[in-house]
Amino acid sequence: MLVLVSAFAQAQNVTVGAKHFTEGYILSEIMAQLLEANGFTVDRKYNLGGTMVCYKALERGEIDVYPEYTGTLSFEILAAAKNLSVNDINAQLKTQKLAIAQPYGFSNTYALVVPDKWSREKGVRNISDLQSHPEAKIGLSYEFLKRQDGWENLAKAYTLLQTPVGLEHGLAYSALVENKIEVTDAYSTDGEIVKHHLVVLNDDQKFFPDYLATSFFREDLDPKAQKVLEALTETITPSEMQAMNAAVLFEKKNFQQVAAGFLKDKKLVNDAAAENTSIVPDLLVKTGVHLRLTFISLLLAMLVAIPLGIVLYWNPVPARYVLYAVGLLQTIPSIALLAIFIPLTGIGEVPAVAALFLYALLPMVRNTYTGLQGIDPVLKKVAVGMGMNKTQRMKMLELPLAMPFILSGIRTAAVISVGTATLAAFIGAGGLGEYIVTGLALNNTSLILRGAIPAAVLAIAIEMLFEVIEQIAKPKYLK
Amino acid sequence: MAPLVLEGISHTYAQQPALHNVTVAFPGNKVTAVLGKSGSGKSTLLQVLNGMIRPAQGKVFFLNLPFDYAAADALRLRMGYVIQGVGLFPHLTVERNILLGTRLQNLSAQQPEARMDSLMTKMNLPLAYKQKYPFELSGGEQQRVGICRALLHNPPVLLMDEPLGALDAITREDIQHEILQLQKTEQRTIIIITHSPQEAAALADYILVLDEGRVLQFDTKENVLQRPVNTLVQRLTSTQAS
Repeated sequence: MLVLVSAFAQAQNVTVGAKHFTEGYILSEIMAQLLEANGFTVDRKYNLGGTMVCYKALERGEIDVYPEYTGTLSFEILAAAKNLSVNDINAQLKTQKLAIAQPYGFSNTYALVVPDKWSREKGVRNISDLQSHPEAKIGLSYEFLKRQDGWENLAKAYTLLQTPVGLEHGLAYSALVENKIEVTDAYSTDGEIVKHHLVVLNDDQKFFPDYLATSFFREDLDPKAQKVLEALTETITPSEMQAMNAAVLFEKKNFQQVAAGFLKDKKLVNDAAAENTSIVPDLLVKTGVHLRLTFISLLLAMLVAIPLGIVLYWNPVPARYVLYAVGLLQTIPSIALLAIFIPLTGIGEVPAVAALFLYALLPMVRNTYTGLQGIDPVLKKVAVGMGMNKTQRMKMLELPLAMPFILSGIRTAAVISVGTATLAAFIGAGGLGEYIVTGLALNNTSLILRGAIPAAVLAIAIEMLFEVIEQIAKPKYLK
Repeated sequence: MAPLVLEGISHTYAQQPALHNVTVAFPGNKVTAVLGKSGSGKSTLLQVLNGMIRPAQGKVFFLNLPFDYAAADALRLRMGYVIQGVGLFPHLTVERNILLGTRLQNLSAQQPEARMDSLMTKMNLPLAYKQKYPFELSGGEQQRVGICRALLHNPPVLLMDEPLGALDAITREDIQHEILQLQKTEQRTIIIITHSPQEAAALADYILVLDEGRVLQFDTKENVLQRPVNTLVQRLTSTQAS
């Protein structure tokens, strides 16, 4: 009894990350619910923008574990020339104090898929069976046509003589359904395989590298948690993964339900994890985070931009170049800017605030500068003639007269920030963007709207708030 | 004793009318009108006097000391400055405009409010105007406020750059009259830039005639008007409409 109590008392917080795509969410949620069922407190950092974002976050200890694929580990993370085994990967990760568990049981790799019916009629089960069907119509994505592990080498390995046509990946499934083509490339766990009654041809010569899914974790992850996650070894078959992806993408089940169902079916937990509580408090929490990101970054930007605008006004020669530089920041795509900060600050609110801060600078600096520049020269002349020094002129004349411009710069920056803050979800900063980003990945419109509508309302509310502030602050001579 | 002296001032700068070897001692407690066409350099001369333009050659003496450009702001506090555009601060009331000087220096003028009231009365401004904003006043009223603001601390010198140029004839005459009345009670050295011979005749004790940056004549009003040194001075100072 005592042992049990102390085990619970020491139960650690585990932070689970997830890559921003359907399968990533499902696998992460399976891990998270499994850990929770075993007494751990789980912090979910989903929506991480890509492999490098997840990997850096893991390296820096901002997440403890996330699902990764052996092929990705070999080629992208370890930059190996060939696909590595689990043991080889662990040997190389040792120096970084990272490790992977034994695979879950399926590989999400490139595959050739054909309609189930066609496969049965023609007796095509393996890729090598295509040799005896030179008439098979093959349509492939442009990416697959070009890749090292794509068509050219595949055709050589299997001595296939068909000439494939190139087409957009998004169109390939409908082309298959309409019998325009009979074979296309796909990821082996795509939900579409279930939806369109397709089968994956067996890679009988082992041409495609394995992309075995498994838990990628820090060595300092609580050994008990590592033990818990080992229970997932060899539990998910390719068709089960296809079915779970299809359930989220096409049956509009949420991934929490799908993950809970899986754990229950496999008897890995006793009962389904508690349903998410009502969405209203969650919405409020996310709105709160959203506003916090926006306002902290705005406040910091104001503290820098307004003094900078004043300094530029006093030094008009460098002003042009500084304004160009600040303008340049504005042209960096938001996702790229967010990504730039990850090596410096890791993931979470800090890089999000930093990026929003940089975006807010330009409108504020420029409006401060032009507001000060635009002041009637007669006023400036008389202020000098009266004996006002630089600081007095700024305080008593120039700043008060430039204030309407400065305020409208802050207003522009605020509206930009509210919009851009939705992207902060990509680096685990939370906010309303979490709904949007998850909704985009799951192709779930109602989830997208759950984030997009409050974000739009916030933007309008901020516009209105500033209108009121501007009315109040408007000097009497302008009213 | 001349509170303002220019000694061999030459200044040629592309964007400003030039001055060539100007030497003048402005008589203390007298009104000197600097008369000339536009482009004659008279505005440049005024800005040289309060240090807003530092001349390429020559020296400026203010109250018998060489003008210290490092302390220009402090020196200007002792020179009233009134210009054609008036330059009342639009976001401040008349009262706060007039009292601006109290926020600039620690001179803590004796009862600035009383001084303001007395100046406003002398300039025929109703005291009720104190709470008005500049945009609520006519051009003449605005310039009267500008003069009150410049004189709050009773500076020994008042520099005026075409102060009445934009006003109608009647208002101009009224303000000229007010300035002269004020000069009777509190004498100071006034230098007024004007292109109008009538204004020079009405206000000045001395007239300095400037043309193309050179002093043509500098003498008492009577001497300049009655004994012009050449026909150009005669034409520039002629009060007859030409």
